[in-house]
This record gives sequence, C-alpha cells and structure tokens, in this order.
Amino acid sequence: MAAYFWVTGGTGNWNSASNWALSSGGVGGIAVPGSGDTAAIDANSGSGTVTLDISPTIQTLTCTGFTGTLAFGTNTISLNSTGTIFTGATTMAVTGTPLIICTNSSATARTITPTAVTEANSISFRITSGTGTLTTTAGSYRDLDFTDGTNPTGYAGAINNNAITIYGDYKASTGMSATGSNALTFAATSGTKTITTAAVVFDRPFTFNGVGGSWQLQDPLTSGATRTCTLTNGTLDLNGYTLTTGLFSSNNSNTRTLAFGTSKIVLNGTSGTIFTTSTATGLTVTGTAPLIQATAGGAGTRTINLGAAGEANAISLDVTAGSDIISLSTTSGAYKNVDFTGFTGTVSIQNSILVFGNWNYGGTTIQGTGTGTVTFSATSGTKTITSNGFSFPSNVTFNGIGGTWQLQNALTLGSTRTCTLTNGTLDLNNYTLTTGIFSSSNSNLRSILFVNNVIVVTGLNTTVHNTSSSTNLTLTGSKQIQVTGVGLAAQTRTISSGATSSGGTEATAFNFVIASGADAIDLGTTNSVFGKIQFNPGFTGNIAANAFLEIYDTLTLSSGMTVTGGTNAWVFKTNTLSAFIPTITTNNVTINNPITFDAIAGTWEFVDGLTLGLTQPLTLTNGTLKLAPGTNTVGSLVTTGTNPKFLQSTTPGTQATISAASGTNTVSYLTIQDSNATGGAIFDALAITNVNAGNNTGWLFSTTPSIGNEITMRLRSFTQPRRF
Amino acid sequence: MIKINFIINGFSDALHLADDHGLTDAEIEAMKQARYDKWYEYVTNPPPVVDEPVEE
Repeated sequence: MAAYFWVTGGTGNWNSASNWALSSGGVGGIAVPGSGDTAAIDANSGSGTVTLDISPTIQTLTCTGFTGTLAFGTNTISLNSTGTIFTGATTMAVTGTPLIICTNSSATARTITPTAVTEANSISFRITSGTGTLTTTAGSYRDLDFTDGTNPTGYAGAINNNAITIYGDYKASTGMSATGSNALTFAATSGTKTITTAAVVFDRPFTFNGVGGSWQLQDPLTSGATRTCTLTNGTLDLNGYTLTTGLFSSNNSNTRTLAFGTSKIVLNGTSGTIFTTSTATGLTVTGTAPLIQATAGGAGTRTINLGAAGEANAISLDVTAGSDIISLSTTSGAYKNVDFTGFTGTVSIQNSILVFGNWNYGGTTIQGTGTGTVTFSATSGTKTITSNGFSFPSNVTFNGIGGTWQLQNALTLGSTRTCTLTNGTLDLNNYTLTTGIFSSSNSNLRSILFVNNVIVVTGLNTTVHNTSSSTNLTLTGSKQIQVTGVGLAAQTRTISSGATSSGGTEATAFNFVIASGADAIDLGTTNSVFGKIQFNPGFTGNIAANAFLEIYDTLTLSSGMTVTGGTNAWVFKTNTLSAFIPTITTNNVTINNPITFDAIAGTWEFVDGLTLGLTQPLTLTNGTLKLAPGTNTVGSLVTTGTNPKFLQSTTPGTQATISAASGTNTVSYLTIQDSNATGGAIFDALAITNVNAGNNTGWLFSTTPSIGNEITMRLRSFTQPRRF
Repeated sequence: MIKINFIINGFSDALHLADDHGLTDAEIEAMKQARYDKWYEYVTNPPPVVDEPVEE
C-alpha cells in the first residue's frame, strides 16, 4: 500500500504517473494509485484540474485543502477500504457526473466527509455493500445510493445520526437502517429528485428545502412517530405513495407545493402540533383528494393547524383513532372533508376554520370544546354533515356562494352558539337543527330547506333568531322555529323576523313556537313578518312592548302570558301558501295592541273570545273576520278602504258579540252577519255600502235607499248581498 | 352503511350503522331513545359552556 499525492500544479489526467508523488508537494512520476493505495489531492496540489480519464479504484481519497477542479466526466472513483474513505473540500470544484462508489463489503465502519460544499460541487455516493456503521458526516451530498446499482440490496448497515444535505436522489437498500434526531435535508434547486426507501423506516426528520427543487417519492416514505417532515421550499410530490411521519410542518411564506396526487400523509404522532401549514402563504396543494390522516392518539393534545390556503388548497382530515384532544386551529384554516370516524376523544375548535367539504363525526361518542366557528364554505356541489349525536362545540356558519349543505342526521350546537346562514343552501333534510341562536340576516342568495322538521333555538336572554333582513332568502317546508329554553322573568329573548322593509314577505315568514319560559319575548318594533306564532302552555312570560307584527298564519297565546302592548299594529294577512284558514286563540289574554285584518279574500277565525286593550282598535280592511260566539271586547271597531269586507260568527246562526265601551264605531263596505253589537258604544252601519246579512242586533243600519240613490248607482257583480 | 331515520317527540334524527351491525331491533330502538334522551337533556338542561382562550 502506498499513499499518493497529486503533484503541485498538476494538471492532467488521473491515469498519468507524472501527476502523482509519494508526498504532499512532492515530485511526480511515481505511479498511478491503484486498488491498494490511497490518494490525496491537497493544498499542495495547486489549483489545476484533475481529470478522470479512467474510473480508478483506490482505498481512500482525501481532498482537504485542494483548490482546483476534480473533473469526473462520466467516470467514477471506487473506494474499497474502511475508515474515513473520503474527505472533500469546500475549496475545490467538481465537474461532470461526480460519483464515488464505496465497495467495501466488510462489517468495519466507514466515514464519508464531503464537507459543506455547494450544490454544484456536491458529489454522489453509492455504497454498494458492507454491514458496518456508515458515518455520513454533516455536509453536502449529491445522490446517496445505498444499493448495488441494480438491485434494491446493497449496503446493510446502520447510518449514523448526522444532519446532512442531499442535493440529488436518495435511494435506500432493503437491509439498511437510519435512526436519529438530525434531519435529512433535501435541498436541490432544480429538476426532480427521487426518494426511494425500499420499505425501510427512516426514523429521521426529513426536510425539503430547495428553491425550485422538486422531490418525488418512488415508494412509501415512513419516518418515526416523533419525527417531523418539513417542507420549506420546493415541491414535495407524493406521487401516489403514502408519506408517514410523526409530524408535518410547512409553516412559512415560501413558494412551495404539496402534491398529493392520489395519496395521503399519515400522521402517527401522538401529541403536539402534528400538522401545520399555519402560515400558508405561497403554499399550493394539488391532488385528487389531498388527505392527512391522524392515526395515533396519546394522552395529550394533537393540534392540527391547517393554514388559510383557500378552497383550492384545502386538505381533508381523517382522525381515525385516539381518545385524546384533537385541536383544530388557525384562523381561516382550509379543510376539505373532516372525518372523525374511529376517534373517541375531544374535539377542540378554538379558532374559526373553513370547511369546504363534508363533516362526519363518525359513529362514536366524542366531546367538544372551543369558541371558534366552523364555516362551511363550499361553492359547488352538495356537502354532507353527519353529527351522529355529537354536539358541535363551536359556532357553525354556512357561507359559500353556490354551496349546498345537507344534514345526514340531527345537528346540535351549544346553547350559546350561533348557527348562521350567509350564502348557499342549508338542506335540513327533515332532521332537527338545534342551536343557541339562528341567524340569516343579509341580502345574499340563500335557502333553508325544511320538510316537516324544525329548527330548535335554545339561547337565553339574547337574540335567538335573526332574519331581519330576508332579502333573497328562500324557505321551503315547515319553516318552523321552536324556541325552547326556560327564560327567567328578568330576561328577554328577541326574535328578529324579516322586516317588511327588508325582504320580509309571506314567503320568508318563519313559523314560531315558543315552548316555555317566563321571560319577555321581543318580537321587534319594526314591521316584521311571521307565519304561525304559537305560545305553548309552558310559556308564562310576556310579549315585549310595542310589537309590530305582520302575521300570515295562526296566532295562539298561552293562558299564563301577557301582552305588554303598544301602538304598533298586529296585522293579520292572508295565508296563500296553504289552504287552511288561520285561527286566533287568545286563551283570555288581552292584546294591548291594535289589530288589523287585511287580505283580500282572506278569512280569519277566532277560536275563543277576543279582548283588546281599552283603547285598541280592531280594524277590518279586507277579508272575512269570524268572531267566536261569546263576548269580544275591542277599544273600537274600524273599517278602512272601499273593498268589501265581512264580519261573521264562527258558528253560523249564532251571534258573536262585539263590545266597545264608548264612542261611535262607524263602518263602511262591511257585510255583517250573526253579530251582536253592545257594550255602550254606538255601532254605526248606516252607510249604504254596508249590508245587514241577518241575525244582527245592536247595529244601526240604514233604511231602504231613496229612489234617487237607486237611479245613480251602476250595475256591478257581487258575490255577497248588497243594499241598493 | 345504512341509515335509520326516526322521530321521537318531534326530534328528527338518524342512526348510521354499518351494513353488518348485528344489532337487534330492541338494541336499535334503545339507541334511538338514547339519542333522543341525550338531545332532550341537552335542550332542557344545557351543559355549562367552558370557553377556552384562543390560541393560534
């Protein structure tokens, strides 16, 4: 064995004895180093070019201090020894396709020290055999190939734990192992580099950090449950293979792409932030169904910080196991589908996240915490929400232009949480939606599809329903809001239904059932639309002062409640959306507001007696009002307009009494039947536009009109009797 | 996966079960009732909400 040194200022071919000396800086012309020799190209070798005109085999190669160029061309250098078999230098350059093949097959350790050279001057290494420990010293490598060059077998030892940079491909052999906490950093800045693991579990951190670089898996890449895979720059192309890592991080503002293709990232970390793209600026996500799968729960919290990457870059999340806490964080974090099937722990939603796909709580009982909001944000297609008995801990908002969300079973939110529909279609699919507060007050295109189901609002001492701006709101089905919860006497629940000045119409009027409570129900003091208003017997509170209502359906008051009243009218309108006749049941509750009946061809029937406040008028503008037999007390009776209107009893042939204490109640264009007017006031029906249709008492009707009047009247068609 | 719709006292919900769930009719009925009971308790006696500090 001899040690050969490249001569001072040597420029020329490797295979020229004139270039080699037996000492550093010595005289050349000895011999070309062979398979039993070592070679050194060092500081005394000058700055010339060493050209590999052959592919030599030597024991070791040292380049410490060399300032020239090692020109590989298409040749290689084989190192057949052990120990430190290669030492590079940051001062030298390499050209060609630099490849050093390490061929020793013994169990003796080897060390490669490339130093921290640049990408351009990095050298590829192929370790074709051996079972001894391989120390890849911290530094830069081009390709690292642990196979024999043809088969997946080759090096079968253990690689030490050093942080290294790899500018090229990485190709593992089936018998090798790699464990340690220092990262393998892939740093290419151009082209597509490949990573082949040969089913070896690399219990190492992986970092991908090369501006313009791209790395493509050639088979599944698996690291340890405590290791982090980091994408800092460039493109990580899973290429249809699963990447398994304890944690994944791509939390920066660099230009980078996570290309899932048809595959997924499995996160087997048991605690900590197992996935973060919290800062998603510059991140592009591609693939047919980008998916991260959290598969292993511990005793603590697993945090998932999907960043605000938008719908195009949203990623699906499956949590398949664990009884710990899953925290979904990062404001506007973009999730596609979220599925907790198999998870039995607690879901924590601390910030407001966006979900562009489906939500499935799986089939097991889990808990929830958090003050955030889950905003369903899809803009196309129908997304599904499957709760399976789980209560959403957070607020829930539906806000996607063109999106549709369909419940797959009952959806329940906490009593202090709000369910908001901002854009799109909420298809309740005949399931119960329970929420503290329901809100959809805007002018966006949106729909709520009921069937026979209800929305239950459970909030207390707050606005429990708000559709005050109902412009562009479409409702189908039962449209029923059930107001539950036991409000206390000093509290108020507000129902802000559609204002007539802001899209409130019969079509956008909800039906409300107030089930219980002793509090005030504030129905609003601006003119707002209601379908049915029903106070169940369990409600003993009051309607807050000066409610201004436009009612298109039945009104039912409960016997234990009161109406604070005011000057705003309750206007009963026609129900054109169903065939039945709206009823009014007062249960002996005094209505301290004016009431008006105003719908051409409309009919309303009182189930029991009506009592208005002493000064409150009953105004009949259009339609047919049927009072219940017995006494109906009003402040006054008023008719308005010139359309025909009718006052009748709900029991034909039996009088309904209308009573007013004082004053004169003058009516016109009114056909009166089965009515007993009493109470002390004058009921003046003398105008010739009125009709005494029979069985009336207490009314003043005019006598037969004069001949002159008969002459001046024109012939008209009437559906009810008229006086001529 | 099969879906079993049910309505109890106006509460409309559905069980989602595996095709081979192996449950008896009585067990399924019990699951429906349990689902309703849980909801009813939640509506009539809401659990106190413990809001956590927001962390980013």
